[in-house]
Formats: sequence, structure tokens, C-alpha cells
Amino acid sequence: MPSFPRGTLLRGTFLAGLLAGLLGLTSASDLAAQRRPGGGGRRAQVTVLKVGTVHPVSGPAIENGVIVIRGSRIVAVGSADEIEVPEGANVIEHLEAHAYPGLVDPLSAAFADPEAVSAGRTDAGTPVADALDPFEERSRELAARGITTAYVSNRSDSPWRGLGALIRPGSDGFRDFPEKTEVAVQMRISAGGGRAHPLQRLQALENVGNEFEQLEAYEKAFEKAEEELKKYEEDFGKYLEWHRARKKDDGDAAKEEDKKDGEQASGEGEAKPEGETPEARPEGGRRGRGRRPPGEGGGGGTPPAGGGEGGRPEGGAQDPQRAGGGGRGGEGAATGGDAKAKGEEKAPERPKYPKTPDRDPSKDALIKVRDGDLALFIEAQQTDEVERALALLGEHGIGRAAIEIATGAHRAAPALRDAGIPVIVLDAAPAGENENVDRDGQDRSVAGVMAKAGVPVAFGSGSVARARHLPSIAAEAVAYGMDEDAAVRAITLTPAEILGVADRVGSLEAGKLADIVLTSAPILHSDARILSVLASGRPVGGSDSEDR
Amino acid sequence: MLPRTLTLAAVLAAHLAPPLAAQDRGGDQQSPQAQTTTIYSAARLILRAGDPVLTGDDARLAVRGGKVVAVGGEITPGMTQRARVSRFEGATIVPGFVAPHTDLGLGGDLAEPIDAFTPHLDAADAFNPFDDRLDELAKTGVTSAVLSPLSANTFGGRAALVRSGELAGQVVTRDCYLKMALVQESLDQQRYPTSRMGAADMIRSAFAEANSPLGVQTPEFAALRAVLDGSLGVAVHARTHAEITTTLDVLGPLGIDPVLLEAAEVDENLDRLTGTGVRVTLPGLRFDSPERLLELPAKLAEAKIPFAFMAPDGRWLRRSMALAVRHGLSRELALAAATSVPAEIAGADDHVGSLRVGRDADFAIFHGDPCDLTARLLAVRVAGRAVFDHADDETTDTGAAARGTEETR
Repeated sequence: MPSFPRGTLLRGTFLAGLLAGLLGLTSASDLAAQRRPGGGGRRAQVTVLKVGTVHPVSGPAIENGVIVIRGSRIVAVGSADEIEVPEGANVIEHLEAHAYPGLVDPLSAAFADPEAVSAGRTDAGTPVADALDPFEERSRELAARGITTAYVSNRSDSPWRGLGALIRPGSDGFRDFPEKTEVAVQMRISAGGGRAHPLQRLQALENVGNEFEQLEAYEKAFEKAEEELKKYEEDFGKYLEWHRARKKDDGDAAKEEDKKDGEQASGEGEAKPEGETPEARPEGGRRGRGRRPPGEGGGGGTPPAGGGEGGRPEGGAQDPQRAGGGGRGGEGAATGGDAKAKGEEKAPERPKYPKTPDRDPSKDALIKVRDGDLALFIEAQQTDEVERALALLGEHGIGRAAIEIATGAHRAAPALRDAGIPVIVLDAAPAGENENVDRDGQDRSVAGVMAKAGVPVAFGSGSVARARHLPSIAAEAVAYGMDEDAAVRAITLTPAEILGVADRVGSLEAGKLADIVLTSAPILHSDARILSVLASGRPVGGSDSEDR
Repeated sequence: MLPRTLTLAAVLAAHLAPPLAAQDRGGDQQSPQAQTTTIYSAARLILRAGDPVLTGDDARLAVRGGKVVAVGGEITPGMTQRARVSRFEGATIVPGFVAPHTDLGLGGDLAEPIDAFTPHLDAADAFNPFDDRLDELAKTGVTSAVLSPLSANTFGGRAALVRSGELAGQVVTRDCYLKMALVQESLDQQRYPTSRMGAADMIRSAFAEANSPLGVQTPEFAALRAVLDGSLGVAVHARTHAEITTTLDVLGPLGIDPVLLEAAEVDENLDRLTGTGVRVTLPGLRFDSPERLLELPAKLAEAKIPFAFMAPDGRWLRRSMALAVRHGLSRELALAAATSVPAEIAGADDHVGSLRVGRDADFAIFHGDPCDLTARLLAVRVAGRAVFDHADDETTDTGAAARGTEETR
């Protein structure tokens, strides 16, 4: 390996340091932002909302309801008789109004230019959050339409669509959902909504599970690399010991050379005198590190392994002895005697630094899915596609999942119920279809069929324009057999559960974020007008710049 | 001028009836008890959009032989004793929906694009009374639909009003309106006219010819003369502001008040239309329609311009009604836009679009108000015939109240 010219090296080190500093700064400010009290602070304003009917969604409707909000959170919900209005509270009365939790859109296109998001190749680890545009004008109206939480995913044709983004839409852009950055990996097992030949469909479904099967080999490669690294460290220790043992025989002549070595940091390679011992070089470790070319440690994502990293052959003309001396000096000293005895017989071969595999964000994301740290959302439209998706989930033991779209999947309802997998649908019944009954007389209205079968149903908008009408979309499901409470739940608590944020949004309960939609009539009815929307306790459209 | 009614399907129906007899729970004009009276009883009865809503005992409709024979208080105890009674608790009976412009999927059968001037053609000639789509329409609450020539020609031909329902499929009238078009798809580089300018010229010259006492006596001009003497309406497909303006500029001086079809940009012309006899059909509203279109129904209502929704099925009509109400339209006008106004546009408001004694019993029954999307469609009758009944399902809560109970006395 050629050695780096000194200048480059220094500059590189400087830049790396600068970068690290910057990163440090940003993460520090992130932390500060997260630590901002979630409304529980002593000075937080208390607001009391008195409305005609509170629809908590998590429980039955409350007539003459009262919601007490402190800062960004709800602290109490109940009827006017039960709830005591705290002194000094700011009381807002809408005695004819209905209060609902902020709506949760689990299939949103908010702030996502469809072209920017779907173009190009994506894999399971591609984050859609990088493609969102906070300046998209129409999406800024969504909060005023009652949508206070949205999960945006890539809708490309690619089988792997990456990680969706969970956001809080606002009138001035969006914010990330607090303390919940990753929700699910998006996948598509679908030949589309139209009719396709069974063989064509089969072909499309054939390879979907492969990625999961490759995970084992991927993880094995890292395990193997780790083992190799351990072995390398051991071998290197032996190699060093042998040389140290020989050095002792050479006597004190090495002391002079050691000084020289300290000044000339690089380019010495094998020419280095062999007289030094770790004990004789107190600052050996520091020097070893300082000479490391920038980027080496992080290049392959290699787990640093003590002094071993300094001795990596690719790292320029590094001296194995010196590097090893920094990290493994104690060991070397303790076993020096034995090594010497052996070394005299035969010099051990200098070990090669093992090659480590590169980390693959796609596979890393899928490992999280397999281990239950992330959910898997699968778009599957027809019954056979849903069945394939369920088989995939079963085969790989994936517990957290949802099926998206499911237009023609009415026959898969029992299988979904048995597997405990929820669905996220765009419409109560297939769009543009006159017939809601298929050729065999089966009801095709997905939402109704699923709800009756006991499958949790959530409605997603799929587009910014449709998101404005989420309550109407849910209302239509009532005509197809869902009951009204279930339809309201399907745009609030059910999607919050699917997204794994039901502890903070989706219903009006003490402790949750104060996301509240006030309407002039029951929200599913055509007369309902949105009177006002609170997101994290702040009126949308007002100064909501300081969220949460 | 008077509509000719064909009852071809009624004759043929007898041969096809057996497999469907099971569905035929409500009224029935083919069975031996054809002259049995059926009384439909609900919580609310709307005879015509905008009329006072009948409730309680008045919310009853007696049907015999496919016709409405009595309403509310006119129903005597004597009648009740001999009649079958269909009860729909908590439900609303409304006139069946009328679709003001459809092609029933006939596509190319409804256009002769080689020549842009074909006002003498009859859409009724392409009608297939056995079309499955008629059944599908009926199942969503649409009891009659205008079958219109496509917009491929400047003068497309005459539109016909047809009944929906698999066995009821029949032509109510062949003379709904003369279909014309100024939209892009009516222009063709292979023949005249190739531009809006040319189309305007063709329209002016054709009507001038028809107006002349010495004009050509061909079926084409006979159709135009029917327009000029007021016996046939005109409906012009004009989407954009420019197309709408040209339509009004050309037809206004001729004293013709057209129906503007799919006039999504008519908000630019509102002042000009108020107080004229011009009617409008709007594209069916969708959840992803632009805000401007969603607000248009309320604007038209304010300007007192009658309008109908142009949607291909009842589900879409209901979305249109509900979205219009969400954007400020009254429920009465929303229902009118799916019933009485399209019936007027079709020139058949004395046959369809409202319920009156002596008229065909075309109606739909909803659990709730049809302007709420939550309202479930429970039953549809076309000329008294049961074309749709909501399947009894296992639901117990909403179902129990919603399900029509039926008794024979």
C-alpha cells in the first residue's frame, strides 16, 4: 500500500474533525429539541374546551363534554359534571360542536411530489423522508382539514418502496412525529388492480420472499467477519510477541530509534527498528491513532477492535508493532517470555487484516422488520396477492404488518382475521365499480366485508386531494356495512394503532397529544363543517411554529 | 314531441324471468298478482326534491301495475287491507335518480365520426335493452338514464331516455335533446370542422338553412327545425370557459337556451346565465376533484341556475350530492341535481324524476338521507319492479333498524 503524503493526511484529519464537530452540534440540538417538556411544564397554559359532544373514539360519546388541555397534551376528558375546571384556565365554549381526535392518514401523499418520490430505484431501506417537500402548498392545508398525523410512503412500482415517513402536517410545512422516526418498510406484492393472467401474477409473486431469505447469509457474513477479526487480533498478538521477544535480545539499542520514530510519523513500514516495547512508549496508542488515515475506521463500517484497527495493512504504511503496542501492550508484556521461546524456532507469518462486508441499509431495514422493530406494510390488491403476503409474513415470522389497498381482496378477509393483520384501504368499495357484488354473489365492498369479518380497517387517502375528504371516504363505508363508530375509528385510532403511535394520538384521552377536530355536526354527515383544529394543543393556522 | 314508449322488454321479460323471480320480493307486474297493490311505508317520503317531506303516516306510497296509485293520506284503510305492505323503518323514499348523459358503455355505437353533421341520428337505435349495465345502474339507485350520442361530432344526434333494470330496460322517449359538442374531441383534422371557429360556423349555417323557408328538406334539417320550434332541446358538450362562451354566442341569437354538458368552468359565465333558460350538467364530483369544482354547485344555486350531476352511476351521484352539500349546497338542491333537474334536461320531467299519482313507480329507499354517504341503499324499484333489495346480512345493530320488514295482509 502506498503511503499518504503528509499534507493530505493532515488536511483529511482536520476535515474529519470538523465534520465530527458539526455532527456533534446537530445531535446536541436535536436532543435539546426532544427534551423540551411535552406540555407537562409548570408554566404551560391550561385550556378547557367545552363542547356539545365529545367523541373520544376509545370509548362512548360524551354529551356536554369537557376536554382539559395543558400545553400540548390532554390532561382530562369527561362530562361537564365530572370535570372540574382548573382556576385560571382559558375556557373555550363550542356548545353545539362535536369534538373528535385529530385524523390520522396512514396512506398519505402529503408533502410528497409523486414524481420525486416514486422515481428511481428504491430498496427496503430508502427513506421517503428525504424526498418530502415542506413547501408543497396544498399539503399545508391538510392540518386545517383535521389531519394532524400522516404517514407518507413511496407509491412507486418498485417491489421495495423503502421506509415511510411519519409526519405532523402543519400550515407552515411539517414536522417529524416526536420520537418516532421509523414506522414501516413498504413493500408491494401486486400485479395491479386490473385482471391479470394467473401465470403472470404467479411470476410477479415468485421472488418476493428472496430478500428475507438473503438476510441470514448477510448476517452470517458479519458474524464470520467478526470471527475473522478476532482471529486476526490473536494472530497479530502472536506476531507481535514473537518480534518483541526478539527485540529484547537486541538490547537497549532500540531506545534511540524510538525517539526518531515519534517524530517521523509515517512511511517507515517494515524498516522500523524492533527494539520498542509498549512499556517503553507511553504515548504509543495516541500516536497510532493520530496517524490513521481519515475514514479508515468508518470506511467499511468495521467494528473497531482495539489496537487492531491501527494495524490494518490498507491503512497506509502503518507499523503493526506500533499499533499493536497501543492496544495490546499489557498482553504482550505478560506473555513475552513464551513468544520469545517459540519465535526463535520460526518467525510467524504476518496476518492479513480480514475483509469486512459492507452494511446494506436495505437489509438492515429488513432485519428490523424480521425482529419486530419495524412493521412491514404490503400493498396487495387481489385475494391471491393478499394470501401470498400472508404466507410471506408467516414464513418469516413477521408479526407487525398491514395490507394496503386490498381492492379485490374481499375473499381474503377470514385469512386476514386469523392472522391478525389489519388493512389500509383507499375506499369503502372498489373505485369506479358499479357492482359491489362479484360474479359469485359475494359482497365486494372491502371495508364492509373486512369490518364484518373482524379485520381492523383504516382508511388512507392516497393523495393530497382525497385527504381533504377522509371523513367522507369513511362515511361511505357505513353505507357498505361498517357501523358509524367503526368508520370514525378507521380514520383515527385504528390507523394510529397500525402506525404504532396509539399511545400518543388517535383518541381523546388523558396523556395523549391534544389533537382535536371540532365539527358543527357528526363528522360523517354531509352537514359537518370543521370549526377549528388543534394540533398539539395549538390552533392550526395560528402560530403553530412551536409544536409539541 | 310526445314520447313514444316501447315496451319491447316487457314482452320478452316473461321468458327471462324465472331465474330472477327469487329477487322479486317487492312489487311485481309480471306475476299472476300483477294487480296487487304494494304499499311502501318509511319514515320520510320525498315526492319531488324541494317539496315538503312527508313523514309519519303520510310517508306511504301505494304502487299497482308499476304505477303510483296513491300517496300518504290518499291511501284508504280499504286499500291497506288488500295490499302488501313493505315497511322500511327509519328510511327515506326518494324518486329514482336520473342520469342526464351516459353512453352505457356503447362507445363507438353512438358516433358516426366520418361526418360532423349528423343531427338526425337516434341514440335509441343503438340501445340494447338486455345490457347488463342497465341492471348495474338500477342497483345503485339510477332508475332512468339518458343514452346520448358521443361528443365525436358537432351535431351528434338525438339522445333517448331509457329505463334501467335488467328487465325494465326500455326507451321512455327518443327525443331528449339534440346532442351537440364543441369540445376538442368533436374536432377532427380529417374533416370539417377542425376548429372551434369552424364548428361555430357549421352551427350557424346549419340553423340558418333550417330556418329558411326554402331550406333543404332532409332528416338532418328536420331535427334542427324541431329545435327551432322548441319541440326538441339542445345539449352542448362544452367544458371550458372558451367552449361555453362560444356556445352561448352562437345559440343565444337563435333563441336557443342550451343545456351545457360537463361545464366545469361555467363559474366564469354565471352572470350571463342567470335568468336565462340555460341549464347545466356538472361532471360528477369526486374526492379528488379540484376545490373550484366542489364549490361550483353552491355557486350555481346562489345564481339560481338549475344544474344536474353527470355521473355514470348512482354511487358517484351520491358522492357528488354529498360533496356538494359539504361545500354548502342545500340537501334539497343536491337531490334535485340527481332527480328532477336531469329529468327536465331530458325533457321527461312529466315521466321521471319525481313521484306523482299516475306516474311510473321509479324510486329508491335509503336508510337515512341520500345526501349523507352513510345512508345505505335498501331498495330500488323501476316501474314498480324490484331491481334491488339490500341483501340480508348478518349484522345485527344497524341491520335490524335498516332492514325493511315485509308483511302481507
